[in-house]
Amino acid sequence: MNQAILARNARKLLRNSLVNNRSLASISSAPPNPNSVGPFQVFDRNAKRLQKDRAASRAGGERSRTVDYVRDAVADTMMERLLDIKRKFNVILDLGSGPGHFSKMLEPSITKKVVMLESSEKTLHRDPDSEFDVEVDRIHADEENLLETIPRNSQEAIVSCLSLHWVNDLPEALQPDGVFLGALFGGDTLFELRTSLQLAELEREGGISPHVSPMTDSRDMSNLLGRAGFTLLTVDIDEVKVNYPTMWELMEDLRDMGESNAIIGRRNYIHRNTLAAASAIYKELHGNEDGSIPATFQIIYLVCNIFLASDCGCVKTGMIDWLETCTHSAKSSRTRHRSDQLERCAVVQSEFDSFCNTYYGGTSLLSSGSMTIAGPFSLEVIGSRGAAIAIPASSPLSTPSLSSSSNSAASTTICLTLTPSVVAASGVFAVEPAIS
Amino acid sequence: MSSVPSAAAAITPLRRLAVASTVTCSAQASAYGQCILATYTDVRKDACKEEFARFSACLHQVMKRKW
Repeated sequence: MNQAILARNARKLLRNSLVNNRSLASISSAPPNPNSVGPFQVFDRNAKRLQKDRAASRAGGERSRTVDYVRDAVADTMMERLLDIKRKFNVILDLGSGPGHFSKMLEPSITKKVVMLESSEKTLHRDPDSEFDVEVDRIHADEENLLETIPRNSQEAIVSCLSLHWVNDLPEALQPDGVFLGALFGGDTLFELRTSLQLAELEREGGISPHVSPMTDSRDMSNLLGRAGFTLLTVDIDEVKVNYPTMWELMEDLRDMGESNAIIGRRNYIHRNTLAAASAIYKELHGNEDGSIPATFQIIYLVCNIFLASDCGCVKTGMIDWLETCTHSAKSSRTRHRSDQLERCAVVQSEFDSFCNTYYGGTSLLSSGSMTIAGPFSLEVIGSRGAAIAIPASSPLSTPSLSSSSNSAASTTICLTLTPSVVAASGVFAVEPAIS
Repeated sequence: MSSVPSAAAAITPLRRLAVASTVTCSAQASAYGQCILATYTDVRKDACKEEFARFSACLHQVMKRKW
């Protein structure tokens, strides 16, 4: 007996010493917890904060003000989208507000107050309150630790203008029936700079290190937003192209925007040779006829609503908001898919209407005042082409993604929990069922 | 952290490199860029070594230092 224990201990000791001696293969992070999927850490938040602080204090903020052009243009487009939502807000939370590009455009007819939350203190306080039309509250906090300053599920509207691309993970802060309006950089952003630096590094040094952030693709948005608890969403894509004299001015402006590289494990410097090579490649590969170089900023616009299973009233308003935004974004879209998109909006609308006619006693959710939907059916919005169809569920609703209280009696109020997944990079949206 | 006025910013080493690589040595830069353009589907280390050597020599001359 004792011998057996001794032998086991000896084996354990041996194993431990073996593990300790092996420096080649060691566990570098904590084992994943299967019950909670943690976010993958890509960005160095502290470095980003420092970069933004430096950018905002360079030349007393003047340098930073001169490079507001991209954010101001995007904030302007976002404002159009906010105006589509016919609701007056008490408070809007501007997440990663910067100096308030978006908040400055808010008017008292839209909201009473705006709360700006930003991780960089210098950026947050760059511009005085006199530049804002509505009451401003400034919170200096990290977006990822939002819940330390903002209660969970408490916000009626959250907006974010070009700041989420450096955020690893976001907690849930919207209240049911809340609206999220966001703009973030898409994957094609700065592809010219990315490819030039890659080619230069490859040819000069024989290897690649990430210098331009791996920005999100519109296809990833549904997953990311699903994680954050969003359900109904509209996504569309726009491009802002800016011409610069050379790559050096572009890089300087990016630095002044506080958009320097903040990927974890980045290489902290680029060799002079590589930089010079990249500048030459940029000009030859992407340059304009007049000798300037273009830089593309791809912007993904999102409008989403959040629905909790216990809250059905929001379906109607949510759907109307969604369709309005859908149609509007299709109309204002500058891409070649405009007519396609409009057509799809119309299809979704008519399908939704006919769904309501079929299953809701002839009254469309879009026109009637009644909110509850009774009966054992599910709404399925499907496909990669954005068409919505309603199908009667043959079995009582028991899928976990639909309302929890729905699988008992036929007359129970059910809630439609749509988990749309957004498609194609071309501004086409589609919605996929949450039914597993 | 530097808060230099813009007049002084014009003479930082990086600015000088920028001017050297895009204005003074633009011919060599262009030759190097064209070489990459011709081979960018199959680029490897030192694929355009000669072109870059000429570009680099020009840079060294203008910057009055070697690296």
